[in-house]
Amino acid sequence: MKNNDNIDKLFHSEFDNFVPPPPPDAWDNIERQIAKKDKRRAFFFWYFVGGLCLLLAGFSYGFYARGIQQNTASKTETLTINKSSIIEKVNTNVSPTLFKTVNFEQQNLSTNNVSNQKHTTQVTNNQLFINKNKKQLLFNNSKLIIQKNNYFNENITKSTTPSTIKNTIKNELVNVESTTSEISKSDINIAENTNKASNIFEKQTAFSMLSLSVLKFDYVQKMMLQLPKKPIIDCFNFKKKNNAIYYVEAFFGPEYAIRKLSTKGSEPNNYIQSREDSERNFIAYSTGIRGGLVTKFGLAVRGGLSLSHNVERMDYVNLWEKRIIETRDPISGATTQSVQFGQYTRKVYNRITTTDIPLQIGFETNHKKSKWNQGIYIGGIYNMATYSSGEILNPAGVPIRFDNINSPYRLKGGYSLTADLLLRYELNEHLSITMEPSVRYQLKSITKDEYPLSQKYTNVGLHFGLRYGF
Amino acid sequence: MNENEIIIKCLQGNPLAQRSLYERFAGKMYGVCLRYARDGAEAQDMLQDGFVRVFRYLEKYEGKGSFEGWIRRIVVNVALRHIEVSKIKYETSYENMPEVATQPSVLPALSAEEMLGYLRRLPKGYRTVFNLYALEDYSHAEIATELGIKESTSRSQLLKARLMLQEIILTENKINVS
Repeated sequence: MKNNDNIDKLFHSEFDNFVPPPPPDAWDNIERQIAKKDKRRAFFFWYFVGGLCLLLAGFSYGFYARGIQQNTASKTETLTINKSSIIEKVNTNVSPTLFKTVNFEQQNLSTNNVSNQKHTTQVTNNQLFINKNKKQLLFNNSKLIIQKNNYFNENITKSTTPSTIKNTIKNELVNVESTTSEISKSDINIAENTNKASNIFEKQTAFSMLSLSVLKFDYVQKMMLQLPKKPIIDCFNFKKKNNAIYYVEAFFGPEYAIRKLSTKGSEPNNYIQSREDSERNFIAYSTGIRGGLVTKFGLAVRGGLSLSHNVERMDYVNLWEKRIIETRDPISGATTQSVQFGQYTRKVYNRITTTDIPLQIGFETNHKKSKWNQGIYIGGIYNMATYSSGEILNPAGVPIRFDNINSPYRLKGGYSLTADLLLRYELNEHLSITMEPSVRYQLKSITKDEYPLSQKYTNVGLHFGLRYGF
Repeated sequence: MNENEIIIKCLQGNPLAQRSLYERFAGKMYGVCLRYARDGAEAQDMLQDGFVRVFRYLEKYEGKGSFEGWIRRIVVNVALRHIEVSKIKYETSYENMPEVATQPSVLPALSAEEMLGYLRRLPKGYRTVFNLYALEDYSHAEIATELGIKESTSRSQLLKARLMLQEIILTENKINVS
């Protein structure tokens, strides 16, 4: 033991004062790497700032639009229309049903008794009142307030849009069979002002976004330059075990597709039966790439691009297939026809390939002392494109060949719900392998509207992936 | 610039301070890296990665304990990661140990370069445990946690490392043990 201690001491004392000259190019390499890290950090910082800007712009838009609504509501409440303010009353051919989708606060606009009291009585004649002073258009059973440089258009149901209404008003004003000469150019201008106002509104929104951009490139950049070179926000620190981790990963895995066929209403069930009998699941898989973020609290979000492939086999046998055989006499050129019956067999592999955008949120563990981690993700998938080809039976029971042009399946669109359970093993500081039991449930039928059957899939799979964490 | 000034300026991203910090500790840390690495190139990689991490996590240094100790801890961790300690296969048995008949009470005076040469002749597992225990003053419990092994394995690796070193030293210096 004594000798052991001697060895330890011998090495300890000698190495305590061991200061070899460091390699000459080491500092240059370190400096380069520090700069690279800073760039990467800066990228994520700007990414964050960009996201924040979008968020702020969205909120600004929301609050601005809400402000307009409230403003309009209050104006509607306090608006007093007295008899003298109505300059003209004209008979028009504006149909009361024309604006049926516009449900404005109703007011009693009898020519002799104008008040702002609300009531539900419908005035049946088609009358248009014009209040030039207040730049208002008042309809018989509804009120549309149009003010210069302001665009107030409220309570429009979802079935129409403000621009549709504006255009309609404008067109109707042009076509109005006016009994007076008062309604003409100036009134149409009022309608035009709504467009101008709309532009101003758009400009204001654009301006607010521009302001944020300016903020980004001016204040924030200055702020950034003054910041010490340390992680700006802890969640953007790349320290693996304690803070957020960004990663990219590629995955691939087999799936089992459970198909559900159902009728859209009128189609008899025997068509479903004939398709079920003739088709069976053959192979399915998914592959894709995605990027994600796991915060230090384990909250995770990820998105990417994936490709799913469902292959089904269609078997069709007709024991009494009718064939007409035409025989041509080589000398006379005369043709004769004969009918034959025989077995006709088809075996076709139908392919449905979808390109999708998945977006998921979840939770992932990040154990310090174990290389194994677990997680759970749920989210949605948007179908960006679908390619299909193959052969299926039509409602008459005859096999019909299809490809993307005459496919019964949609070319894009549709949403799915998805849930994954993650098991991750760290190979080293950056690389991990993942295994995920996954389920995907289609919310909407993949068939086109005109196709009589609804067809949905639930895919259950096991995905294997390789992840690179930054 | 004193140490505190250097740290503050490094936190502000001052390149001169970063250089100054590097120059102050690079030699010593390179010495540490050389002990763990199989050659100079690997030691340089360790040194570089270590200092990149030092600069990246500098704001985490709370001023508790010596700054050099803090840097050293980072460099040692980086070195351990480099030599892929998880892949080292440790023998826990006390069999097949190098045989040393009798041990001399006095060991010859050796230079650091010579010792480095001897250390590098040890298997990776022996060298790592010996470095951590004898030169970094880690306890067996700490080594076990750091390397993901049992404490008993750490002890046996240390024992084997010592015996093997002793044998190498005796052989190289032609010391007869009576």
